[in-house]
Amino acid sequence: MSTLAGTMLATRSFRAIGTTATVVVAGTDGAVAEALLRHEIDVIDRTCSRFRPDAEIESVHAGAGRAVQVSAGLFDALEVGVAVAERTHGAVDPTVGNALSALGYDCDFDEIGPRTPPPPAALGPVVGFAHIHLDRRTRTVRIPRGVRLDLGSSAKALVADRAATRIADHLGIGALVSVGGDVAVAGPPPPEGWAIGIAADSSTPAADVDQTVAIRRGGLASSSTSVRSWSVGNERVHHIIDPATGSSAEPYWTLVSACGASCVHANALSTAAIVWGARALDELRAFDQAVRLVRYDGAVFTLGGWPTDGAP
Amino acid sequence: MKHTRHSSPEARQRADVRIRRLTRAAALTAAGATALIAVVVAKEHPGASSSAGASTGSDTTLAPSSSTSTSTSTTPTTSSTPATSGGTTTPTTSAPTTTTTTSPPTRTTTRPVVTSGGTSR
Repeated sequence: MSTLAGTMLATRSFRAIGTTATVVVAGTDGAVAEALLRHEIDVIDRTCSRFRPDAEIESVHAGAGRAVQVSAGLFDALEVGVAVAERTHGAVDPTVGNALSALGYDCDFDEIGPRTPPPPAALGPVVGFAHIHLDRRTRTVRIPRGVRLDLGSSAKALVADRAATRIADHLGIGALVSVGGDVAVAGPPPPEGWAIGIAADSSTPAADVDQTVAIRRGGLASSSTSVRSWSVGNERVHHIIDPATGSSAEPYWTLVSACGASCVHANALSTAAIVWGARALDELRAFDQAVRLVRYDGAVFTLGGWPTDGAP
Repeated sequence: MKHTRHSSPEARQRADVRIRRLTRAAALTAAGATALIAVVVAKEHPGASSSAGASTGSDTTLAPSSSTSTSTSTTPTTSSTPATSGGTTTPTTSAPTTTTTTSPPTRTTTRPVVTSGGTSR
């Protein structure tokens, strides 16, 4: 048992890339921390956004079939996206861009409204990450013609990791960064760690979360089939694509939260578990990470040392 | 299909290491970061990106509370320096490690500073 002494925390939140970004730092240097987070977000938005015609990733789409030289920022995001795909056996695959667009997720999520037309036929299996060719020496990427990439999941987590590290390194203090509920921490944590609420929706107030856990390093990410969803005709779809079908993953799990050595590690598993569906518990055992899963009927499962629900 | 294959343990390990390296990489040069901080401090006005809106902020002090740690003996002590307290800071950063695993979270009664859940609007 330990007692938490008073720890001064500065918190800054703002809207960015279709969600809410938050930085919390020990101390009172919130303005500088916010500026550094905004910079990291800006880099990823200008390079990776599917919704900006001027985003650099459009040059990769336009040049499909040949090697295209890209900036270091985009190359790193692509390399992370491919590494996540390899790590999850392709469950989280960056070649799902066309599938997302076919489901109507072709603009910023704030602008998606109910779609009256019937849902389009599923596009079928995606091309797959193995067809993305990256050459770090020349910093070039080549994708097959017709493929569109979506780096949203891993890129958001990458922003959280890099911003937290950057802020902690430059300010010499502990920092927590959340981008849409994907959390990374760096630097010295508060005495009892960084307290993070777990809930279906990352906008849930602190008083209403399902569980509160503390982490001291790395990241914690959650994926949900119930929040970022929309109607297409009579069908409810969501943003996590099963690469094997090219359509929304079956909503066997409504919420999966995972910890990891980084937010990218955590996000990879939380997203993959949604795609794996009923076989997720078996797949996850191959990873040494703590995971909490909420099934469609509300049943909660924990793995890897994640604490069970209930009063501590 | 490529996307349904199981990566070999070696390939997965290599992917882990790449992720570790890339998540720690600096997206901003040291000089650029210093300049950015200087601008912020000078203007007391954070730089805004085209995709980001105005911010809300607060300074809070975590109320002292007690909780029972549920961590096991495998939970490492991650910082060799005292954590911040009472508004003072310790100019030390966490040392990068080569492991790709991390200790599980612990339950706490501390009020959460953020919520992790589905990405909402």
